[in-house]
Amino acid sequence: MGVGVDLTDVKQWPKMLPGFLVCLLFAWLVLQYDKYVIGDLNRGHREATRLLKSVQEGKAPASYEEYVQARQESYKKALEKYQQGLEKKKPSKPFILKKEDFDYIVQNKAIPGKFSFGERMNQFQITYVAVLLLGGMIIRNTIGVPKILQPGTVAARPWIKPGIIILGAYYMWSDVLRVGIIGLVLVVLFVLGAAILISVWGKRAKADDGLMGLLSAGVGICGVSAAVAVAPVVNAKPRDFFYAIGTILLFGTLCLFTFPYIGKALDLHQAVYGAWVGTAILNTAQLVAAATWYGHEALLVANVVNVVRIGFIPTYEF
Amino acid sequence: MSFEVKKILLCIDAEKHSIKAQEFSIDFAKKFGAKLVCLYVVDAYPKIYTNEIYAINRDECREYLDRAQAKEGLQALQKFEEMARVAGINYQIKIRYGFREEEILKELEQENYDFLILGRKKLVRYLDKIRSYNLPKKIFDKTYKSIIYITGD
Repeated sequence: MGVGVDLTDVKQWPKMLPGFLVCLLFAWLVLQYDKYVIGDLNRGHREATRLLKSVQEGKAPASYEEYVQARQESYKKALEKYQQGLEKKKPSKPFILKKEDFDYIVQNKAIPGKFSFGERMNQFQITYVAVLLLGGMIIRNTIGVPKILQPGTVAARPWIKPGIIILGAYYMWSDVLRVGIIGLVLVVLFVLGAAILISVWGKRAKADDGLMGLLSAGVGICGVSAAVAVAPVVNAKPRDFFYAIGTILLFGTLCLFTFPYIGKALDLHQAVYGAWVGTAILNTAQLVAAATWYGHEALLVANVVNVVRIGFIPTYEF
Repeated sequence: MSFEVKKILLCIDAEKHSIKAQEFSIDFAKKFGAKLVCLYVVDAYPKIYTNEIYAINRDECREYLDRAQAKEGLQALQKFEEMARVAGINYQIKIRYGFREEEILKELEQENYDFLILGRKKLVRYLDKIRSYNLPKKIFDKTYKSIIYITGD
């Protein structure tokens, strides 16, 4: 799908517009879902749980107005402490329940269903990344994408890499150096380990040298881009080239859908998860998706590690 | 009424099952005294697919994939030529560039062939059926020409 559209040809851009706009609309709708369900409802669940606890302990505010006032005052106090330098972290604005939700909790001594739904979605990490990925896959494999929209589905791809460059605005040099040095150690171990493992396995399986070269570069460095870079150098057969790309992308897809859950199950810190994803997932788009799925800090760390790994491409050209 | 076969199209690739198809089609053409045209299509898909990958030497890779495929095709056609020469049949070799399915159908439309001979893989396992593009089936669905399939091991 999408194959046959040359993104560098300006004349083909109008063809891409309908599909691109539909993709943007889809993305906007899903972001609204994320903001409401994963953001508001999930915060609402935390606040509702806190209120329910105080209701059960008999310490609930007498009225809604009293509840709102108490929440605002506690925020003011926290803000003052921060301004005085007693607290390092700036407090976030409090989530204040709506009157109907407050009444429901006080009267029924239970959490409203919508908040439980938001908490469940967050627990299963059905964030915007998951909805966009799964939604795209379901649409493509069930109803399909109409021909008029197909060229536009590839239009987003060139934005991935400039997007990563723009992400650079979030980095502090000290952080980059710190993560970069740890990433460098991880990457050196990973690249060498992958190359050695694949060579040993390839010799045992009597696999073609070209295929081994492609897999070593692809699995060890940065997936498809590395395979493209080294294919002419290692004289790979076209069939082997696509085997290597298929292996890399299938592995990445598997990682993309499992890593966030493994990370959560192991309760990994965002930075640790980011380093893991940045080292293990080869394709940049899949890496960005898996890291974003987990959190913003994970994304920043994963990108630095990924950049370090990409720097190893020239080593395979030798 | 006698059954006449004047021209046969054999489509090959660099796979094992197409060797079996070559052997059969040479015997077949010899028996009927027909002309055997052996076609290899350099698949344009890899070049177009790699055009969408943003890698350092994408263009070099795209050219390389075309060259490598053409080389594979020429080697396969050379093997066919040797076999056809030994059998002493009337033959012709052809290379086309494009999507395999489209190019085979175009060739069938442009020339007057009595038969199309294709090698095909034995797709027994469910996974094989999913993985395979199944070109022979796609050709079968889109042409009314007589087709002989030679199934590989």
